[in-house]
Amino acid sequence: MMLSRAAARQAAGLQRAATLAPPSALRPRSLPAVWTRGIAKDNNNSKSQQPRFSRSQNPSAQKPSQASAAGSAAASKPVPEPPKEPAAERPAEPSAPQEEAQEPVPDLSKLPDLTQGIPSTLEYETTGATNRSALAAIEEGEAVKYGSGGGGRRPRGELPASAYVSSSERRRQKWAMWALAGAGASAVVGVAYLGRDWDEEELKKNPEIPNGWGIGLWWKRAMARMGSTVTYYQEPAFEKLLPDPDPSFERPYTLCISLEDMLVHSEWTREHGWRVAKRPGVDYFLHYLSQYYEIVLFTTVPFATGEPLVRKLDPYHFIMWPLFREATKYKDGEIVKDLSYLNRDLSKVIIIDTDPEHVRAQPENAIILPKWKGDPKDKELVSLVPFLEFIHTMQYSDVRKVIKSFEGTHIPTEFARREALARAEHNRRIQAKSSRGGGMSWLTSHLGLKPSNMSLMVAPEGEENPTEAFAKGKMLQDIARERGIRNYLMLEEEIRKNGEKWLKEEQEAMEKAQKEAMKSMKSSFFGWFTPADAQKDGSQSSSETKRS
Amino acid sequence: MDHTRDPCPWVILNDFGGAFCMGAVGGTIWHGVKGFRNSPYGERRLGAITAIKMRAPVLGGNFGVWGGMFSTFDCAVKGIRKKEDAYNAIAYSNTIQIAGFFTGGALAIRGGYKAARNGAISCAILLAVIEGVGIGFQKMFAGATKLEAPQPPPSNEMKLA
Repeated sequence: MMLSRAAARQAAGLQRAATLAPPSALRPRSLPAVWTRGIAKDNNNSKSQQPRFSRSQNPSAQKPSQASAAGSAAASKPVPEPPKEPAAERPAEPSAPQEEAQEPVPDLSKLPDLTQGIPSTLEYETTGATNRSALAAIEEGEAVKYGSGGGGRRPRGELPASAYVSSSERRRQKWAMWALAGAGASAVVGVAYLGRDWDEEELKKNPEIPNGWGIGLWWKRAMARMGSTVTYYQEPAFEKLLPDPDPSFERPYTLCISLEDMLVHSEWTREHGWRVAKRPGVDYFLHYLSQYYEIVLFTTVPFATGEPLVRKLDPYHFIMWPLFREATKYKDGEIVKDLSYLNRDLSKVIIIDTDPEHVRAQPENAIILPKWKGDPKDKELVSLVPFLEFIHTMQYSDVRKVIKSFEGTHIPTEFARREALARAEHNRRIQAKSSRGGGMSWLTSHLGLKPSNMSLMVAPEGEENPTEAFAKGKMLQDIARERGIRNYLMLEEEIRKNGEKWLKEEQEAMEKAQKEAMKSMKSSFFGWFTPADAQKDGSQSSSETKRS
Repeated sequence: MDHTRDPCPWVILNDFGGAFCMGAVGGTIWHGVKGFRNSPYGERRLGAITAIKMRAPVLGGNFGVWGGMFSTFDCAVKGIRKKEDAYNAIAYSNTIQIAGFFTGGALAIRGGYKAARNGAISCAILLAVIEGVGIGFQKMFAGATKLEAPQPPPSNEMKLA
């Protein structure tokens, strides 16, 4: 082995000495055998390479060098040699001058003048000289020639274009496929899970769909469960919108009012943005009716928008309960104020609204007002007051019947008309009675049925006796009206005197509550990080500071 | 009657401007840091400023185009569906999804049919997820905080006489 290598080295050295003398002088002698072998190979090639270098540099020195190379190496490559050239047809560059002599002289006049720039080939191409099918055929042929085993530089053409996808694209497609498969599988599993048998509670709620196997039943149960999930978001936020009625509150009727376009009107202009107008007589309406009704604001405006409005509109809380969008129901693409969630006897609930669609669940409880569009001379709201007062005065057992009797009429005018009729009737009766000498009242007083025993007619101090009032030609609602106005005036006086103070107190209470809430939140937040005993200490110290 | 937003044709301008500002501010931060980090020592401040000047307005413009387009589609859908009054969360989220679908599609239309379809679907899904989470939270808070169970005693000023 070593011997043969050494022999090879010596042979290589000889060759080197012959052809590549200058570089070999630089190379150290003690190179590994492999290295020298590589050089030896190089030497073989060098015969074909060398002329190429020299060709470009000095064509004149070409022939001698070739000759010397051929002479030195016995097993030389088929380098174009001078004797063969005249017979060979193929053009060999080294023999350029000879070829020129053979070929016919080219017609130089047809060539473009390149001093004027490279001419466009567009015209040539559009004439169809390079038709695509021909090119494609060439490509196809090349592809076949190269085969499919090519490495990085594989030519296009042997497969449809869709086969050439980058690896990242392929990876993405794989991911997409997995995702789709996963989605499909989870959908199937989800439906299967949703369609599981009812538990006992659910079975009570859905008696029409029994438990059991079977695709149809399964599907129905899944759909019912889905539906219940959706309705959760469409129902009002609470089962009972209001707390139970308080018997000490002494207001048997509930009056639901709306906000937008009933108490206020918002408008937008480019110059001023949003502005909110308060309807004339809103304060009077709320203050006056608050002595007869439990006033509930039931509006479709969301809490975030409506709450600041309400706070400003009604700082003294004549509106007992504000209910916002969260308390409404969403049904068939419309918002509905469903009074059945109100936790009140519906025969004692009146709702005033401006949109019939919003009250379509209980239209029999509803008084529909036209929308107020900001007219400052509006009287509609205030003109409703006598009617509402009358309902309270007469203590109707079912307000729906009363509202029904006014159906299709303008309530204030219709009410005024009926009142006028009743008044005429009343006056006639009084006159007849006085001419007969008041026998009836005499009789009842002797039977112990004094009119003052009737609860409604108990006259507070400072008010004339109902009997006397009747005698003067007053009707029941007149007495109620007088009393109501007196109460209202007292209330206004009270607000004028103490209103500021109340507001300040409320503000302080609110700030205090806020601070308290902040503190408890903080302590509960830091409670996560402090150990239990340290927390106790902290709470103790905080309570001490509070005491001090 | 959402008083925090202007009514329809004008809100497009608002949204465009708001989105542009958001993109420009965010781009200032983002490209500021990026330009700073990618500059050689000694030129870091200048590199950051150059990157901001070059790229933040572009990002703002991209955001603005998205926001303005979304708002336009939103208004168009509202106008067609006539659901502006019924400002319910679910109806509104449907509107948003439709608007998002068209926005995504319109922005990706230059990439061809497939890109437009994918953009539209992914945009709608993204918005649906965001909206859905929002509705869930809204419902949760509505149930937790607005229950008026603690009955305030009828205050003195109301009892009167």
